[in-house]
Amino acid sequence: MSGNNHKIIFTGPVGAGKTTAISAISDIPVLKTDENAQDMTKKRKQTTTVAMDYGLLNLGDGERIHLYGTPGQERFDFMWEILTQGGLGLILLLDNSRPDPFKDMQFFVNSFSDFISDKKMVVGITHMENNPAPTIETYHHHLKKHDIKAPVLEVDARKKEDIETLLKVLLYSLDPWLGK
Amino acid sequence: MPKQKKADPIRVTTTGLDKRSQEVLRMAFSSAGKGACILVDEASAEVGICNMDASNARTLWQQNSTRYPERPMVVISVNDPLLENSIYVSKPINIVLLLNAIKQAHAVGCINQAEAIATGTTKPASTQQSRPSDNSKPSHRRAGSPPSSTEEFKIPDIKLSEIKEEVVSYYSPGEFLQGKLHDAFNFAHEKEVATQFSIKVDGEWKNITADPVHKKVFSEIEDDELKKLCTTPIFCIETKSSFLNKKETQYELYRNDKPHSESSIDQFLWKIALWTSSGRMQKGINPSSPIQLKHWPNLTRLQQSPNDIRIAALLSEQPSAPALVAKVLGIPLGEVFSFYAASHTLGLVRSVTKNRARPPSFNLPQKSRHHSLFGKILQKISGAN
Repeated sequence: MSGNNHKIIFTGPVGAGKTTAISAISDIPVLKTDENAQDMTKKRKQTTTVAMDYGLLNLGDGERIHLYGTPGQERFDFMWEILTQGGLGLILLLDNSRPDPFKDMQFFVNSFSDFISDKKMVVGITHMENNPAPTIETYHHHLKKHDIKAPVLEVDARKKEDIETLLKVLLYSLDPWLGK
Repeated sequence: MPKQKKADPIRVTTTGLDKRSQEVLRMAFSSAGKGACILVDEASAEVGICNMDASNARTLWQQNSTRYPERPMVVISVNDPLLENSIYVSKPINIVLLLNAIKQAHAVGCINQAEAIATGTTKPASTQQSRPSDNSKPSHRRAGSPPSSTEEFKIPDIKLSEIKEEVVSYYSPGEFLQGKLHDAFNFAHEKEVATQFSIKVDGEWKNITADPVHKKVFSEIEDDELKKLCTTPIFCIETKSSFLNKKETQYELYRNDKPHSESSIDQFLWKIALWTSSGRMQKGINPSSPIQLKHWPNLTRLQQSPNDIRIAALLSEQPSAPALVAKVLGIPLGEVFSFYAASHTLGLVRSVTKNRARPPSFNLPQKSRHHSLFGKILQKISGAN
């Protein structure tokens, strides 16, 4: 990537809200490639992201932050390492309405373990308004088992202020000197 | 080497305070104030304190202004009386703020006197001298009280350079509404029954109902009122509490004859702790002792103060003393105290040096090589709000 192009990666299972979250803060309409999935994910969503979601934050003076959403399906995990190259940080979105969100969390934490240990990750839990359990506290408990200490926040992926707070938390985790 | 002469205490007189209150003030001056001020008779005072909630307060104020027009005044009351040429300290009195107000008033008095001498008069003018022009000193000043806005709660500043451990303002949650609410909610949680906590506000009973099963709180008290109640000593507030059976719980939670707000228990307790602290430190906690966050608070769903994310980022990374956090981040110490109070109420903070042979070392966090870029991203998303 050129010096003035950087990226933040959004990851998580199908339906967690990655595309929605990127759309909430992107300066451009999110570019996504959809096709009718032939496999079981069709039952979950009408459309499934099978390529990268892409959004953009324009910072001015030609400086941009690329927002990438990983494909929700596991069979595309060979692309994830390519995606994380040059990434500033990771935003993991987990859907609290799924049958086993901790299994989802374990999968993504394992998949991105090298990146997480080098950079920072923040976790956003979606769909909590109608599914209050598991609680945020329980997510922290599970992360501790993996010896990971990451911020975990409840978010509504449609709400710009929630996604912006998630991003702010990521930035300050990476550099507490910001704003000084 | 001769001992440095200790500055003479500021001579203070009071108006509108009963004997008991005067004795309390006398004690406060000699203990927390370390003898910086002393109560004297009216004639020999340099600064006056006027209780504007006394029944004849306005009359007393007028009399004082007439008899001692050059004497700077500190006014104390529940609501700001907006009097010219005075410094306001809100009740309940915070001794640190009162002492600061007295010192400010004394400084103004000295300036007035110096001006009078410089202009050739042998004694201060009989009418109030105008103060030197200074953008930071309006003629009516408020001594560090919190703002009334409920959108963003800004904590009063406590300058680190003025902090000595003995003058940090402490409070005990048990002496305020926070303690009572916490106890009631804990008990309800243990028994798994809803609790109704009632407070008499302006002669009318208003309810706060907590449903521990759904982790919700329904409050009939508006935030502005609740904020004021949070800093009122509990013995000044009439309260009662009761447990609700299932039928009563259903009725109370879904009644629509009384306006109420709904929040999660964590949201409610967080803001109560924030408002009760108002920049003060909880008793029993040393601002120089390291603390650490067990994990980040759920900040998207909690009332945020301007620097909460920065404080959380530092405190979750490594143990740090509140005083050091304020210094490193360049933020008011009161904000760190309030963040601590709110986090502590949700069980998110632990002290680190207990039972340790050596206190933990503090390593300054590294500035990222992308610091400038992150700053631009932050500016972008903050500016877009």
